[in-house]
Amino acid sequence: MTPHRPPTRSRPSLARRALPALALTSASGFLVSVLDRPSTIVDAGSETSSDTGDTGVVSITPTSTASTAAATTVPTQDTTPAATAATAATAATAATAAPAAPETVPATVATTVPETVPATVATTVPATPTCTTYNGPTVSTKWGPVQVQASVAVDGTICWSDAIVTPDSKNKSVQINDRAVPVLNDRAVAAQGTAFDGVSGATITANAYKQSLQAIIDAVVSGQVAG
Amino acid sequence: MSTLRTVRRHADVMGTVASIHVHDDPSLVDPRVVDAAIDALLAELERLEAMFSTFRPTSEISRVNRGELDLVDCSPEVIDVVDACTWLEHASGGAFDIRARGRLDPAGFVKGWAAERASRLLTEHGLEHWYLGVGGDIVVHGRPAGRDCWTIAIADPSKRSAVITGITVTGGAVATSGTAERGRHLWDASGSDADTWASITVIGPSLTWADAFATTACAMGPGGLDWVSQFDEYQAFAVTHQGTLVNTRAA
Repeated sequence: MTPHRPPTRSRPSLARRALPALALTSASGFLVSVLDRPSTIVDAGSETSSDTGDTGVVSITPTSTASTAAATTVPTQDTTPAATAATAATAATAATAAPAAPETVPATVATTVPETVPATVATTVPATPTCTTYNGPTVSTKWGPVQVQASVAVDGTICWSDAIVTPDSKNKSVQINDRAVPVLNDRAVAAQGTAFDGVSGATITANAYKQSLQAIIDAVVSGQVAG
Repeated sequence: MSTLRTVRRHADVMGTVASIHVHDDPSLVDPRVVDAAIDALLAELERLEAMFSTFRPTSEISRVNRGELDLVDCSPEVIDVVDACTWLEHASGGAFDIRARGRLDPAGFVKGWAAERASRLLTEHGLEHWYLGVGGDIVVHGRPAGRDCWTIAIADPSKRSAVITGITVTGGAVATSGTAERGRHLWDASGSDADTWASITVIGPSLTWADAFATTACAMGPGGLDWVSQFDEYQAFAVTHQGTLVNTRAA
């Protein structure tokens, strides 16, 4: 198995193949005159790199230190069928919109989203029946609020945890089909009001995540909330 | 219709948080197998971090950089990564660079590569439906309980909001690179080009390459999006500093 075998490149289109040739042909006269002189070879990859490091961007300020933990017993099963219909609808939109995908789509207001995501995360934790689900405090970051929902046992053991992302009114969706062709359109994310499976590009939230999660554990262990 | 079960775990690895969601059928999969699979995945991430981290003096990369270890004597994993990075450096015209100030630093490649490599342990344990996110790099397999596809939020790189868009994927990988992620961590090979996009997201079958292409495309600047689109099955979109989404040119 070669885990990192480079992907194959697409065969260039006729235009992509022909245009450089045309350009080179027309430029050849100029090149002949230039090639008589010694040229400067620039190695872009070796000397000009700069490492500015992981500095100065993370700015996390808790807006609320009180745990908003609302005890919610974890349902033993929840297959959340609500998103399926909307997903099918957006998939159909994606299919029709694919050829005409605009290059630039302004991020206009698409929807409003409830501030707090209902605790309907499907989870079963058979080995730890005393786990209780809490919502952690919202932690502000430069990039937006982060809130963790966690199921915690009375001794502070984490049964599971996950970030609850609160989308703002600038939501837009990008539909990806099986061939992974992104299509930008104006539909709001189908799963509004539910948690995303995950967030891409959100390393910034890792510290806020820990902060929110820690608040839950601290509150449970210190007995501030019922376990 | 049997009841589906979702197991979620997270752990601190590679200087960030890894989240694993396993959706399975309890009548088919023993919960101990799920735990064992996740344990194995996290152990593999930890093993690879110990091998590659430039923050650990005992890592092979650190030892190479101190001149104590020759590259040819490194583990096969290290040689594979250096090979792949060298290919990427050539394919990108130098925009991607594994060497910073003459020192080996494959950090821009290893996270996605390690996550994809470790994720195979879930499949090897017989798990069909799972999500793995490591610091914003995501790979999914199968489908989530009760839904046809996975919904992935894309973090807003610049505005005071958490999410700028959402995408749905049926399988494969999503990786986002940009200045928002951890400060300016991209190699800037050509002046200010790396500042063209606030972030670039790449979707494709392999997290290794989705992550590497996102990092590289950011460093390339204006041509980065089209550069990604030359690779079969990989697609990219960018978020500008003005908060607009820019798609790859339709083929």
